[in-house]
Amino acid sequence: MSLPWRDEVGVYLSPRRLVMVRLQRGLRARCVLEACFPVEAASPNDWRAAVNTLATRLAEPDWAGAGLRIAVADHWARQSVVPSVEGLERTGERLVYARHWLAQTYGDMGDDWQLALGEGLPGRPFVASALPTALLASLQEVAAGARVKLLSVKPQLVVAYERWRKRLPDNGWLVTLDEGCLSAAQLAPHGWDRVHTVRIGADWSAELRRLRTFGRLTIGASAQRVFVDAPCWLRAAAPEVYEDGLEWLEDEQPQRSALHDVVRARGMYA
Amino acid sequence: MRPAHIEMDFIAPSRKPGGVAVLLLVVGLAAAGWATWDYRQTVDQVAGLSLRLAQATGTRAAGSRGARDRVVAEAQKVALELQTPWTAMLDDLEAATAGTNGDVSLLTVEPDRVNRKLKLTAEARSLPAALQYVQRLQQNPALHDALLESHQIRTEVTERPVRVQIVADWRTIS
Repeated sequence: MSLPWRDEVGVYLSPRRLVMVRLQRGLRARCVLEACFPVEAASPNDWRAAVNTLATRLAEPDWAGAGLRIAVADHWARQSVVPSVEGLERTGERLVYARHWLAQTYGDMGDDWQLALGEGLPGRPFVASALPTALLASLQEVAAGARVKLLSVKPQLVVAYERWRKRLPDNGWLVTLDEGCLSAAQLAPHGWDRVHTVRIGADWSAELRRLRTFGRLTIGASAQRVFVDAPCWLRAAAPEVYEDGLEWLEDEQPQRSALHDVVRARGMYA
Repeated sequence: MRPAHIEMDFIAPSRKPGGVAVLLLVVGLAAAGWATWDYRQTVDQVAGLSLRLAQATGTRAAGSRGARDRVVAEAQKVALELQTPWTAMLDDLEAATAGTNGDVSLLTVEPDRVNRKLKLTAEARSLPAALQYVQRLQQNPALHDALLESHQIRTEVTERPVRVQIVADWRTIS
C-alpha cells in the first residue's frame, strides 16, 4: 500500500535522456528535486541503456525510498485505437482482440509485447498500448533492486493526455514530440479517435503538417487545432511552425502528481 | 467539452486494501459476528420454545389419550355390566342352590366379564351333592357349560365337607 505521505519519483525514460523529479507528498505535494541525465543508447530502439541509467540513479540517496511512476518514451510503445465490438466486455476478450488489431498494424507481437487497455467509455473505441515485455520486466527488477515500489508505467502520450486533458477540446490533435519520435492522438468526446506514432528527423514540422492534412482529408473537418507537448529545445529548433497555428502546451508550475510533474520537467529539460 | 478520461497503466493497481477499507472490513466482520451470535441465540431460543411446546402438547396429548382410554375402558366396563344378565343368573343360582335342600352352600360368585365366565365357589356336604349341584346349574337358561373345575375335601372339619370351584359361561342378553 502506498501511504499518502510517501514521496514519489516521476521518471521520463527515453533513448536520449532520463528526466526525474521527486515529489514530497503531504497535504500539499511539492517538487523537492528534479534532474535530467543523458542516456547513451546505441539506437532509438535500445531501451536498456535508459533502464541502466535509471538503476544507477535510483541507487543514489536522493532518489531512494519513494514510489516510482514512469512515463516511457513513445519510441518504444505501440499504440492503436481499437474499434468497439458489441459483446466484447470481458477484459481478457478485449485484450485478445486488441492484440489482433495491433498485429494488423505492427505485425505479430507474440509474447514479446505486453498490452494495456485504456478503460474509456463502454461501447466506444478504446485505446490499446503495447510495451516490450522485457522492458517492463527490467523496470520491475530495477525497482526491486532499489527497494522501491513501482507504482505506474505508462506511455508518454497517455501521460501527456492525462496531464493536459482539462485544457483540451474534444476535437483536434494532441501531439507529443521527442527527439526522433512524434506521437499524435486525434481527440474525440470518448477520448481518442485515432493515434499515430512516427519516427521523425530533424524537421518534425513537415511530419506535423502531413498529419494535419491527413486529419482534414479523413474527417472532412476544417483546420483542426493542434496541441503540442514538446521539450523547449525542440520548439526552438523549428520556430517556423509557430506560424502554423500550433498551440503549445506548457506549464512551469510544479504539479501535485509525479507523472504530471515529469511532463513539466520533460518540457524543460528533455 | 473535454475529451473523456482514459485509464491505462501497465502496472495493475494495488489490490491491497486502504485504511478505510480495513476499517470497513473490521466493522463488517464485527457486524457479521454480532449477527451470527444473535442468530444463534434466536435459534437456541426457538429450539427451546419448540421443545417446551412439544413437551406441553405431548403431555396434553398423552393425558387426553390416557383419559380417553380410561373413559373407553369405563364405558366398555359399563357396557359389559349392562350386558351381564345379573338378575337371571342370580335367580338361576338361587333356584339351583335352593334345590339342594341345604346340601350345598354358595360361598362366592366372581364374574369374568371379558371372557363371559362365572366362577363359583361352593361348599357341599358330599362330593355327589356337589356334582348334582353342577348338573342343576347346567340346566339353567342363563348359564351353560357349567363345569366342576376343582374340588377339595376339608378334612380338618368333622363333617368333611367338599369345597368346589365351578366355572360356567353366561349368555348375553340379546
